[in-house]
Formats: sequence, C-alpha cells, structure tokens
Amino acid sequence: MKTRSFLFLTILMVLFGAYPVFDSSVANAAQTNTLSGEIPIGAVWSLTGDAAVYGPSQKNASELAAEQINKSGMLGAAKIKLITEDDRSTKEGAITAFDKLIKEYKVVAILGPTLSNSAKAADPIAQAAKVPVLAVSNTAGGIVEMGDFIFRDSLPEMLVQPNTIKQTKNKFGYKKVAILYGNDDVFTKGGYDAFKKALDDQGIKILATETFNKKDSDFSAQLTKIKGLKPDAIIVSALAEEAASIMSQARQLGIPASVPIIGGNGFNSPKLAQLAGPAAEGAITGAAWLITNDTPGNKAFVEAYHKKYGANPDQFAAQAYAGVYILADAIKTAGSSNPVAIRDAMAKIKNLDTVLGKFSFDSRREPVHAPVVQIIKNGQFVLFK
Amino acid sequence: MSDLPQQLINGLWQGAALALFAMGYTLVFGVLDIINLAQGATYMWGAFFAFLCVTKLNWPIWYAIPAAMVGAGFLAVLLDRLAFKPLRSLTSGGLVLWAGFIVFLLGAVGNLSQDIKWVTIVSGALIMLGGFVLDYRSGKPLRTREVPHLAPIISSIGATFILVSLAISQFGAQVSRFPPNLFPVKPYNVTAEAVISPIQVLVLGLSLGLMIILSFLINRTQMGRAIRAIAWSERTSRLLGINVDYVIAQTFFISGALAGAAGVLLGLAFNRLEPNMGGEVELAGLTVIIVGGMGSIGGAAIAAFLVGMIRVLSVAYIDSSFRDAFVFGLLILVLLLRPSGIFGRSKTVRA
Amino acid sequence: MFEFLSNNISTINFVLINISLGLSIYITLATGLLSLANAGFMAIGAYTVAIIQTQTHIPFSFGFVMAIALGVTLALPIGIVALGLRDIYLAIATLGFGEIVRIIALNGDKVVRLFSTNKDVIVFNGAEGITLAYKTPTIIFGLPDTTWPILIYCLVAIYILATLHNSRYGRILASIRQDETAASTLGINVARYKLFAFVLGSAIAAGAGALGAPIVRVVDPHNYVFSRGVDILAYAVLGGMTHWVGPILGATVLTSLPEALRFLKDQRDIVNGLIIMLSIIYLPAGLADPRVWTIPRKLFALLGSMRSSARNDSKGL
Repeated sequence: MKTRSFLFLTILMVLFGAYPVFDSSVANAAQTNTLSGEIPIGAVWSLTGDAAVYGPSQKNASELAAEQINKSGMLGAAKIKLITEDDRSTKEGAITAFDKLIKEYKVVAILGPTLSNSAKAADPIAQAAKVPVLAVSNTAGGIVEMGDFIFRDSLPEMLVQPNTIKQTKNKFGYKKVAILYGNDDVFTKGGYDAFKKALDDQGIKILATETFNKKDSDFSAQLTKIKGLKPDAIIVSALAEEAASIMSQARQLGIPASVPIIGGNGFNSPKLAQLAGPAAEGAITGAAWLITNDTPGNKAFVEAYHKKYGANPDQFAAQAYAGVYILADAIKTAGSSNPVAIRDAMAKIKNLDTVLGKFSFDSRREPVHAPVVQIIKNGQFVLFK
Repeated sequence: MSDLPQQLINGLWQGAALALFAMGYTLVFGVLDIINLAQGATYMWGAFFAFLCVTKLNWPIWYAIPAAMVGAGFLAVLLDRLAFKPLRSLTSGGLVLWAGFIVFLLGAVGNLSQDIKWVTIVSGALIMLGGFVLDYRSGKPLRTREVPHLAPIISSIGATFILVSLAISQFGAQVSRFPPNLFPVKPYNVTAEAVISPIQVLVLGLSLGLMIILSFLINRTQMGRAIRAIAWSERTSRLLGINVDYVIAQTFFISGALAGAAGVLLGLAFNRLEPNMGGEVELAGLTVIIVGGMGSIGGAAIAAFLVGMIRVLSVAYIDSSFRDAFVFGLLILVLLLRPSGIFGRSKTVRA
Repeated sequence: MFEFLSNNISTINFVLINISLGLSIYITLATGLLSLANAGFMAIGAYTVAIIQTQTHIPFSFGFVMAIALGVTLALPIGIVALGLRDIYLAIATLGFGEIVRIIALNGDKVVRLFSTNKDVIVFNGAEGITLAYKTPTIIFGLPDTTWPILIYCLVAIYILATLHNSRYGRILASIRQDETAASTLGINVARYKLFAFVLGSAIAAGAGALGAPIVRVVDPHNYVFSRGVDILAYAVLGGMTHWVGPILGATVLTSLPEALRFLKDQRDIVNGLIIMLSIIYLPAGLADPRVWTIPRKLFALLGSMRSSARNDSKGL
C-alpha cells in the first residue's frame, strides 16, 4: 500500500510540476486610468490545424493595424501590444489561450478566435472575467448572445444573405434553385441555414439540397445530380477552396454559364478567382466587404497589406484589421485601459469610419453596416448591379 | 435516370483515382505487413515536387510527372530508413541518418539567417547521405530487435506530422494550383449528356497501365520474385541470400513513385494542392486495400472502383450526407464476412 | 502553487481527461489489441451527456452513468463481432466504427426526424453541435468544482487499472499480449478476456468523453475525428504500453507539450512528430520503461568518470 500511495504522489507531482513556469514580464499596464505605456490586447487565431487557411491573414492584418495605430500616435503616449496566440483550430486550444491571455498577460480585450465553435467554448471565460471579446470572423448564431462583453464586427450570414437573394432574384428572376453546401463545417452550415431561410421567405423553390465534406475535392456526383434537375441558379455555401473546385467542375460537366452560382461570405477571397480561373466568371457572392470598396482607408489598407505581405487581403483580413481599429477607438474614447470601460465605450460606437464602411454596434452588440453583393468580372470582384 | 451515364463515368474516374493511390499502399502492406500511414504525405509531396518543377524550373508537365515520381520514390525510401528500418534493426548508419535529418529540419524550419539556413540544410543532407551509405554498407546491425507490432503504424503517424508541417512551412496551409493551361481542359462528349475531361482519361489510362506494369513487375521479374519471397518470410529470404534491405528499399521506391504519380495527376485533375491533401485519400485508400485484400494489386484496383461507384451512386440516388457511411459500412461488412478481403488469401495460406 | 494552479487550470483539466483517455486505450493495448474506437466512444459519452442535459432536466450525474452504460452496451456487441480480427484489421474496423459515429452525429437529426412528429426537431445540431450552458466554477479546496470530478474519475481509473495490473487478471491479459496461442493452450478463454479489456477500455473512454463535455462545453463531431484517436494512441505509445504509468506520463507530456512549446509557434507539429517517432524507435517501451529512469544516473556516472579521468590526466602533467 505504501508504494501505491507513493506512486499517487509521484503522479500528482508530475501533473502539477511538468509545466514550465512562464515569466510574465509583459507589461501589466492594465487597470490604470491614464493612457500610457503598453496596452496588452490578446488575439487568438487558428494558425495551425484545420483552419490554418484563415488564421494567418487575420494575424497579418491585425499586426498591420496595430503597427499603424502605434505609429500614428492615435492613442497618444500609449501603444498597443498585440499578443497573438495560436488555438491550433481546436476548442481546447482556444480555451487555454483565453485562460493564459486573461490570467497571465492581463489583456484588456481579446480579438478572435477564428472559428465560431471555438468562440462558443472560450468566450464565456472572458465574459466571466469581464474582458471584452471582439469576434472578427464568427458568423454563426449564438455568439453575442453569450454575454454583454462579447461583440462582433463580422456580419452574420443571417444579415447578409437575405439581401443577396433579393438583389439577385430581382436581376435574374430565378424561381427554382439547387443548394450545395459543406455540412461538416459550422461556417458553411450557417451559410446554408441563412440561404434556406431567405429562399423560403422569397418563395423560391429548392429542387435539391446536396452536401459535401470539408476537404472533398470531387463534387461531380452532386453536380451531375443538380445538372439533371435543371435549376435556374445554384446556391453554394462553401469556402473559397471548395467553391473554386465546384465552379470548375460544374462548368466542365456542362452546367451552362447562364446558371449563376451564388455563394456566401466564404466565397469572398481573392483565391476564388485565382483557383477557379475562367470558371469563376459570373460567380456572385453576398459579403461584408469588397476589395474595391471606396470606404475610408480601404484603398490604403489594401495597398499597405499588399506591400507588406505580397498578397491581396481577403475578407478575414479586412475584418481583423477593422477589429483592431474598433478596439483602439474604444480605448481612446474610454481614455483608459480598464476592460470594463473599454467595453462600455465599444458598446456606444456609432458610425465609425472603418474599411468595412460606416460601422456601428446595435443594442445586441451585433455589427451594423451595409452588406454588399459582388460578382466576378474578368477575374476581379466588382459590385453587383 | 438520364444522369446515369455521367454518374457511371464519375464513379469510374473516382475509382481510377483511388486505385492509383491504393496500389503503392497495398504493395508495402503486402510485403512488410505494415500500414504506412505516411503514404498520404508522400502523395502530397509528389504533387508539390511537380509543382516546384513547373513553377520554379519552368519544366513542361510531361517532365514534371516522372520527376515527381522519382522524387516521391526517394522520399519513400528515406521514410523507410527513418521510420521503419530502425524498428527492424538499429545500425550506426541509421543513427547518423537521424542526426542528419534533424540538422536538415533545423535548417528548413528553424529561424536562421539566409546563409546559415542553406549551410545547415546542405550539411544536413550530406550527413543524411553519409548515414544512408553507412547504413547500407554495414551489414551487421547494432542489435536486431523485437518492437511492439504496432510500432510501425505509430512511427508513420509521426512521420506524417513532420512531412505535412514541413510542407505547410514551405508552401503555406492554403490551396495552391498548377499554372493554368498545362493541360487541355475541354471535355469530350461520351454521350449527348455525359462528358469526360482529358485529364480524367489520362488518369484512367495511367492507373490501368501502371496496374499492368506493376503486376508484371511483381509476378514476372527477378525483383518481383525477391519481393514476394520477403513477403512470405523475411528470415528465409535472408538465408537464401536475398539482399533484404535492398529489396525493401526497391519496394518503398515503387510504392512512393506510385503515390507521387497519383499526387501530381489528382492535383492536376482537381486543381488543388495543399499540405493536408493526403488525409482525404488516406482513409478511402485504407478502405480500398482492406476490401481488396492485403497486398493484392488487382484486388485493390477492383475495390477502388467499387468504392468509387458506391460513393457516387449513394450521392446520386440516396443522400450525399450518408455517402461515407456507406463506404465504411462496406468496409466493416467485408471485415466481418471475409477479413482477408474479397481477393486476399488468408494469412495461413500466405505465410 | 495556487497561482500556478489557477493560471493553468484549463491545461490541467485537459491533461486529466487525456490521462483517462490514454488509460482507456492502454488496457486494450496491454491485451495486444489495437482498437482505435476510443474517439468514437468518447463521442458517445459526450453526446449522451449533452443530449440529456439539453433535452431533459435530469442531473448531470445521471447522464454520466447513462454515458458509461451506453458505452458498455455498444461495446459488447461490437467487441463480440470485431475481436476475432487480426491486429491491423481490428484497428481499421474500429476506425470505421469511429467514422460512422461521426457521420451519425453530423446527420443524426435527419434520422431523428424520420421517427419524430416534429419535423424541425434539433437534437444533434449537425456541425454546430450542442453548446452547454456556462457556469462560473466555484472553488472547492483550491480546485474548481469542474476539475474535481475529472480528477476523481482519473484516480479511480488509475486505481482500477493498477489493481488489475497486479492481479491474476492482469497477468492473463499480458499473457494474451505476449502469445495468444500459448495462452489459449493453457486453457485461458482468450476471447472472453479480450472482450473484457475492450469493454473496460470503451467504458473508460465514454466516461472521459462525458466528463470532458462540460469542460469544452461545445460537443460537435469535429472533436472526435480520426486525428483525436491518433492523439489518444500517441499518449499510450510515448508513455509505454505495458504499464499503467505509461499513459499517465504520455498524456501529461503530450498535452502540456503544445503549451510548453508555444514559443515554437508553427514548428510545434514537427517537434510533436519527432517526439512520437524518436520515442517509438529509441524508447519502444515508452517513458515508463525503467531503463529510461536510469539514464540520468548513467550520464552522471559517465560524467563523473570523465571528470576523474581528467583529474588523473592533469595529475600526470
């Protein structure tokens, strides 16, 4: 018996002793009432794992924004210190990252995380600690409902897609459509739910609802079935990579270009036209941001991003970039780096100039700005008219 | 029902794509009785080798495909020496190889300045080469060993992690594509409604051709005889004077080259290259080699077409959400009714 | 110590859950079975708890019991059918089982709606999964009330497996691992003991999944995919498959490693892969191998002898 209790003790020691103690030399500038020194802001992105496609552009854009803000002296003597953590595209990763940012780095606000389900797992930690969270890419339902410290600047699909369906229906007058969506991904599933509701509201007939899995590369079976039903339009809720394959294969299977392919936020990436080439012509997407927007600072943002990272920003980048500016504005208005004060200032933001357009939060902390509908012409996104 | 001809073509083509991947997979499985889960990573690297040839060296795709096959073949041999050989026997050469590999990785992903980076990569590669030669020349292992029979699977899982992360660090996690117009895209009309694209024809033809060549290699040549002897009994083969290590290296080379060919062709056909592309075919490939029967190349091919058809027809006539459930249902059914696969010989006959 | 505990409580939670999962695969591995169904059983446990909590008002403890009961009920027939398969085939059959569980979780609502009068009923909620309500944990004796059940569960699992390890049962299981034929010639009912190990492992995994649900709070199919099964396997492999200390060490190291390796950022996966490969090649019995623990002593001895020989040399000069 003695040996066994000894073993238990050893295990406990291993459990609690195996962690390296991190030095928390980061400035603890928080909780003071004057703006000076470094203000720690956390950012949780999916830099590795399944969602590693989105995280890096969010990281790039947020770092660009923080750099510009610090250079411009927008916050006077104070500087933003962005602390980026990787959640490995997992809920566990997001939870530990939030824990660490709040308890160890004492951040005053958190941007992210990239994925909606990670947000649902991790945001309540910040809510309980009274640290504001600004989601910049969560489009699913049930995000801001988690509490009064949770905000988002990413237009949920439910706000974007009714507008898309209305505008395209007016133009094309389609009556029956087929839907193809990724059913194992929260982002694309949310897009599907929004489209379905909008289509039902407009009284458009849905001929078939087909699904695929993330990372599928062959959609010919689903598309052949859709082709046989002869829809007037095809609604696709997919991420840019899958959407590109879907478009190439649809046109290859002989679905005529007169049948438009309409998609959601996931389409809104320069990669779509790049990957699908000529097959992407005429693809329509409802989105929160257009690369050629004439919103304040948008052109400068696209240029600065391109100069620094050698690629065009996508919507994820734009929303992350706007997110840092929204936080900075709230900190400036609050005149303090107290998380609660920042939260209160953020809730009052109205008609702020951002790359997304005139930006406000409504009473539920949801973003308010006009969604756009865009179409690919000559390999470029332009406004759909 | 007017979709049927097109759906059959879709199924045939999915089957051909799977067969191309599964042939090399089942070869290693049949010879060494190990499941090389890093086959998917080899497949991915094959595609990226061709991608590098086309984009960086401006080679035409016709040179890039064989180059990628050779590259992926050597990668598979290297994998054998790093991940599987040390489980069979430890040699000093193997240790040197590992040391070189770690130096190489340090150079490839470490945060080094540009000059030091290349010096590190090259010296790592040279140490690896030295280890390779040393490993090959020293007949006598430090010790032969008994490891848990699950060790190779686990070791190949580790190798997959490394190979995929290496690709992410070099090419990024996002999807890349071959430059356009490498290959004609205008589809042929089979019937009025059904079409097939040139690359699909190429994949169909190549997978049939490679299948025949591989069967010939295994059944009719001296090398094939040696491979079959090792599959039967490694110990006996050694006693008969077969250079077991060399033949195993050959087997891995062939298997890797097939995976590489599959990577390039499917990368071209779907127009997407990404570091995680191996994961998608991995599970389907596993199903195929089990259903086909261990080490049976013909069986794998037929199983691949079967799986392709099931996937397509379940989408066409049942529900696309349950597509994979049918595939795994088939897998479990075959395992329960005929564990050695539809075309496999049972273990007692084989060994 | 207290500050350290509270700062890292979520990592500690995950370490404890992963230790339980590591133990669940250890018991099958110790019998010589490679079953990759653990992620599937974990999903069954988590979904049971989550569905009971969202659809009814039955308390969590009942859901937990139900989760384990369901795990056992499903493991029995699967075990009876699948355990006749040889090692690799068993691995793949159980892998297929895991995938089917995932597909059912993803499309479960379609099945439910077939039998339900309410055509819009949401039980599984597809890819979004089930979100459980957040409760601010209260601290009891220095640990949050969410951590205590996992800690107790983990200790109970360790206790059971440790007792088993030293008992006649444990020796029989080990004999099956070492030589199944020899064991059966000695009159051991191999099939029965294999089934016992499989069911025990599945039950532990289902329980761990159930207890993990309130910690992660979002139960979605993506939590329980193939790669999760591989992670669980890696715990047992790195730690060692022949002694119950193995999975404890393995799970602790591999779960805290990504946190400890955060400074490596993107290269973390490479280091992870290297650890798995090097440990299976050069430490086939895992970290729990007694020989590993003598390495530092040997090193010291070696250093000591070098130093003394160096001293002798200088004397010579």
